[in-house]
Amino acid sequence: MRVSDPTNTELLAEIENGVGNLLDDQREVILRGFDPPIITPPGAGKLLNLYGRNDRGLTGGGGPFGPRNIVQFLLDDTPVFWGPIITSPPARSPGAGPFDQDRDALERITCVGGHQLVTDSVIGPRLFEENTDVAEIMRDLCERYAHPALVVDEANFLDTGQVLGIFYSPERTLSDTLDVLVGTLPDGGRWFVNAVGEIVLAYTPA
Amino acid sequence: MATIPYANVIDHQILPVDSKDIVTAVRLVIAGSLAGAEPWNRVTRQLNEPGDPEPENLNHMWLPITYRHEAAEHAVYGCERAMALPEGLNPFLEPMDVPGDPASGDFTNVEAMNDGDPETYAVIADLGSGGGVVSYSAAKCYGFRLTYLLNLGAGARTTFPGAGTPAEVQLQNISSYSSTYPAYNLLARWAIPETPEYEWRDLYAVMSFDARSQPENRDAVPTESSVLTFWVLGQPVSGQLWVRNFYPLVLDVEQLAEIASAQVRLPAQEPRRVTVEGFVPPDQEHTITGWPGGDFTGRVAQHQHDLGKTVIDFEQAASPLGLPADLVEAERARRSSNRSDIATAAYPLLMGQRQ
Repeated sequence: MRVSDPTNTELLAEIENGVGNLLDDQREVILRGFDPPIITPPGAGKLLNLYGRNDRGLTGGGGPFGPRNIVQFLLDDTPVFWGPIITSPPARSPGAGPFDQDRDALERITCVGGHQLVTDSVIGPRLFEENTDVAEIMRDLCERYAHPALVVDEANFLDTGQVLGIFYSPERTLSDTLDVLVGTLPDGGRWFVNAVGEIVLAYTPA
Repeated sequence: MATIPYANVIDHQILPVDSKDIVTAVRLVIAGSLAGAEPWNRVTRQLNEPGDPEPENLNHMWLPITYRHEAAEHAVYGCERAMALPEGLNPFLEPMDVPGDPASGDFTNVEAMNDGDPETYAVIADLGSGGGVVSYSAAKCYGFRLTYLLNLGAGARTTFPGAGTPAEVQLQNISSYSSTYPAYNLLARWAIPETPEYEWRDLYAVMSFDARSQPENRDAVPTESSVLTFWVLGQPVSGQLWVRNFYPLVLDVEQLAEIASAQVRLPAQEPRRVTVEGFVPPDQEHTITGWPGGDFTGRVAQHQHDLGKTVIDFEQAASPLGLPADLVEAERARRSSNRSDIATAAYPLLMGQRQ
């Protein structure tokens, strides 16, 4: 498992089998366990609960499980979940013992899927006035307005063959806008954030 | 603020930090679409060269009138929200605070147009001797307010072609780019008709710039300016024009900054729940003296009262007494989902026409 800052630019911790890397090559158990991640087809992460302490792992003290830090969860070296932390123990929480009445607060770390970051992005007055493929519109909007932690790769927005003559939807969340755009596809489609933080358009024309 | 001795503290526990609904940048949407009086003509002119004699006429693509505030934490969290301005708030400057003064040589007492005094007025006493014009150009504006009385005698009238009225308001919202082209000039025109005798008419109109002028579409940041003009034509018959108010609608940036910054929501630093003996009256802040490590003062998020004790949540509200945290989170997720559905359904209202 990897934990990065909220913009996914700085790696804060690498945790393997619950053991995190520390200063001076010291390694210590900082994750006690996890609930199986909830993922919906075709690969959108929904929820992941982790249980650990938050007082070890960072230079200067404290743990890596801060608000909105990005968790990349792997099983058998395969990425299965990617998303921001939305519930975390306070900084320097030592984890919970068996008799702690507030063990939930002391050690539960809840992550949601990358969809949250798409909802936290708002699009501006980008105007499309010429016939433009829906995938191209989606890619352009994601590149301009998506949260900095998200990855926008042209390879995930293959042409759909469906064009729009005009599109203009300012001040709407990016997630609502992408929903509207996939709604224009004649055979249906969907977008999602995959297990490595990429926004993907999944569309198969009939 | 209550001062609570530590001896009265029955229990204290830390709370998990909730960062689901944080907001670090706020976009207040003041007008998502045309609002107020509708112009009889509205066109965006695209100028492709200096002094373009034949600019292209384009349909106006409304650029939402917004105010954006970004907290310092936005560089860390990057969570943005767009929200409508709270109902009942006037986002524009009062007339006496509007930059610049009305420029006109045709009106008597022209300064009454933006003095904010409902008892004073500017006047053209005899339209049979000639018309008049008054304009503002000192600041970028998003419309105008006009309170006027226009009476003409019986007989023929001289009217503006197209508008069909003896008076007209024109607003030019100009987006230019130093010496590069194209530039954009949004021209909107409102027909100002005669009023029934001695009956004042109050008119508000909101108008934006063109979306094509923005960096997303033009790859350059525009310099924006406005010219607001009120014309009345000289008439073949006698007539008078009185104007109590004529001033541009200029955003009150100070007020909007305050409103926007109040919508910022950051994650709590060290939320905790403290249970104390007895009844503690609710307040915004409490201090617990004798707390290990030094007196503790915290912002109160929630108060709950039980038999003989008060449960105080500092910095962040936690679950109600007796309810497990995960049930409360499930309910919060349900409500957040409903709110999102309502926001999606209400999007046309947010962006649509307001009267």
